[in-house]
Amino acid sequence: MREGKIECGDDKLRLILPCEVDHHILGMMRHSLDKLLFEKKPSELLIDFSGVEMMDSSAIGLILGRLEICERIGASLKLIGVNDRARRLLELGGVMRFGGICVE
Amino acid sequence: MKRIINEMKLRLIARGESEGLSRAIIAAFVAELNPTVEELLDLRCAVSEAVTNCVVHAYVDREVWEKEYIYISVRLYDNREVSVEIRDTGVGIADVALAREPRFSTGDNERGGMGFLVMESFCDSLSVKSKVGRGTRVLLRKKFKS
Repeated sequence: MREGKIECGDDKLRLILPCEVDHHILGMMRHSLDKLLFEKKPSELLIDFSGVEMMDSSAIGLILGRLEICERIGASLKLIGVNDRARRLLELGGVMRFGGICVE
Repeated sequence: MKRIINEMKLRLIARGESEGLSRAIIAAFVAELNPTVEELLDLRCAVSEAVTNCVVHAYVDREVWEKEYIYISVRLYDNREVSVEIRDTGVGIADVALAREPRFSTGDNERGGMGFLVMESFCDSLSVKSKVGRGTRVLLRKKFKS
């Protein structure tokens, strides 16, 4: 089972989501992600969905919460590897309509 | 008339780990109906939402950890239908219609308030009954294509 992880590049942070995304799993990753965001103040946060198999609406809360932080520290937020299923859920949550989020 | 072909009852403590565990157990239980990958993901996602609600919202006022249970009851029918009842004995919801509206959440802004909408979209039917101080019962139904 693929685990989630956070990669720090120069001026970029990449959150690689695990294969199962729920409120509990994200809760464990969120703290270290936010700490890094405030510490490193990157210019871009990438959230990588490419390995996600099962995801519930906790991902919507994650994105909206990180969007708020990104706006505060002047970072852009990009969602990458969004497959059809993830897209369906994000559309249901209206995430695609939010300004400031780039979906690749 | 549809007939029950199997039934399962689960009682889990309302903690974060129960979200993934309940999804996995229910996925294994419904496997004999041979759902498609998509159908199974829909069901797992809906279950995840309902169980998360129990973990996050139901027992906020209580401190008796041992009594903070999630009661799950799953039934398989011979018409390829599955029903999943997810119940708690927590604080309850004062206004169910309001709670079912998208973006409603009593938690912080980290939660999208999309749980009921997802359950509704990924299942064929959703029923929510609740009494303040007594608990909440969510009933999901989904029929797999033949």
